Amino acid sequence: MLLVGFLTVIHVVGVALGAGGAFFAEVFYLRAIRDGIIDPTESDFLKTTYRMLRIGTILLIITGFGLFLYFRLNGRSEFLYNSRYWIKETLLIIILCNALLLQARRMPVWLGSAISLASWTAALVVGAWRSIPGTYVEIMLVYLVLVPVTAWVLEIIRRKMAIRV
Amino acid sequence: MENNNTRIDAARVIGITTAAALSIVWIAASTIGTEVSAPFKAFLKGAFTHHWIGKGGIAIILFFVVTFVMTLVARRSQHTNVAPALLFMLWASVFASVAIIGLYGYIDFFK
Amino acid sequence: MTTQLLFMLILHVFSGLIGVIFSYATLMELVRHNYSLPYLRRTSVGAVILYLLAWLSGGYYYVTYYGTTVKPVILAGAHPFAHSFFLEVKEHLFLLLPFMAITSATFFWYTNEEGKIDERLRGSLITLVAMTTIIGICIALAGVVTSGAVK
Repeated sequence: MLLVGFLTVIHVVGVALGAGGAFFAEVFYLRAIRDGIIDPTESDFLKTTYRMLRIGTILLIITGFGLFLYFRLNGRSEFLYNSRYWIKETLLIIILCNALLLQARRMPVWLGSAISLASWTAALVVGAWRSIPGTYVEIMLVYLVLVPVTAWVLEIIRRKMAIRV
Repeated sequence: MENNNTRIDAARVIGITTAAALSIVWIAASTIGTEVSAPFKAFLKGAFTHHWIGKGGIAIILFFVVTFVMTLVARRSQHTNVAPALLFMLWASVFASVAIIGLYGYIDFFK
Repeated sequence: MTTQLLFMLILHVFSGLIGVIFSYATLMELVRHNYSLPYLRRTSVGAVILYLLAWLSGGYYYVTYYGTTVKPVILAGAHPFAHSFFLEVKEHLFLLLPFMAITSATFFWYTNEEGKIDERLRGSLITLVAMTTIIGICIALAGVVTSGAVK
């Protein structure tokens, strides 16, 4: 039980760093490009935020697998076929692919930001809401709606800040 | 401070890459082989105590032998173009992956 | 399960997982315009070492324990496909990873006079490392499916 508790705490820390990092990365990015230039200080803030985001992602991946291994070895392997678990895995893969495409400059920033924020939000909700209703397909459909909604909200914010992306 | 200019020669790159590609081809071929030929599977089991050890063991031996031979050949012929070896490696990986997934998909879901 | 087997299983899962993380890190760095060659060398070699470790530890567990003890449980259970498809694919597809990782690591030591990777090769290398990462992720997930069927 101590081990599960430890893994869960580190897992939650990972999610906090990851999701928090994604939100703050967006906030710092919008503030930084408001004047059209990302100066060295702003770049530093962004780099630090991205580093924390990566650390958080690594922590949650490792502890996530640690938890599944724990369940497997303690006769509770049915958790590994839980739809919540597979939704979070899918969202994680989307986050990783999105990050890669953004890094390779193959994803427009407006879309990449929306996918990142929507994915982290969805992962947070699915992780925290243990009795979330809905199947894998139903929840992923809600997520697919969340992405354009997030993009629309971010666009409103950019317009209010008079930012062109 | 690490020196970026630390490098290996083209011949060794060609040797290693070709060897890795051929090892991958062996893995795919032997995987299919053990599924279609019981005597082949029995041979690997007899020689290596388990067919999976046989596949991996021969892949490793093949890797080292081909690395040595191909590096020598590339050096003697002064061959410096590494791109074909890399392309061979890429295609070998694609075909091996498709073959392995396809094989067990066919056996499990269609046979 | 003995302590030794338990250790091997845990080592297999985490070395494979961290190996995939290293492959992903290599890919993320390689797609950058101003990539760091020392970083690429470290992460790619790390991936090779970890895949080899996962191979050895997983192989030991598979050959000495899984076949006789775990496999029959899965085949007799509610999800026999977990072994007949997912584990069979995993145990063979995994064999490709060390060779793919060794190849990409090798190329990070093959540089031009300016100490950079030949741009004509970079596209192919990105494809190779991307394939390594994707296969690694699929193998990790196949492991979850297999483990989930053990009841």
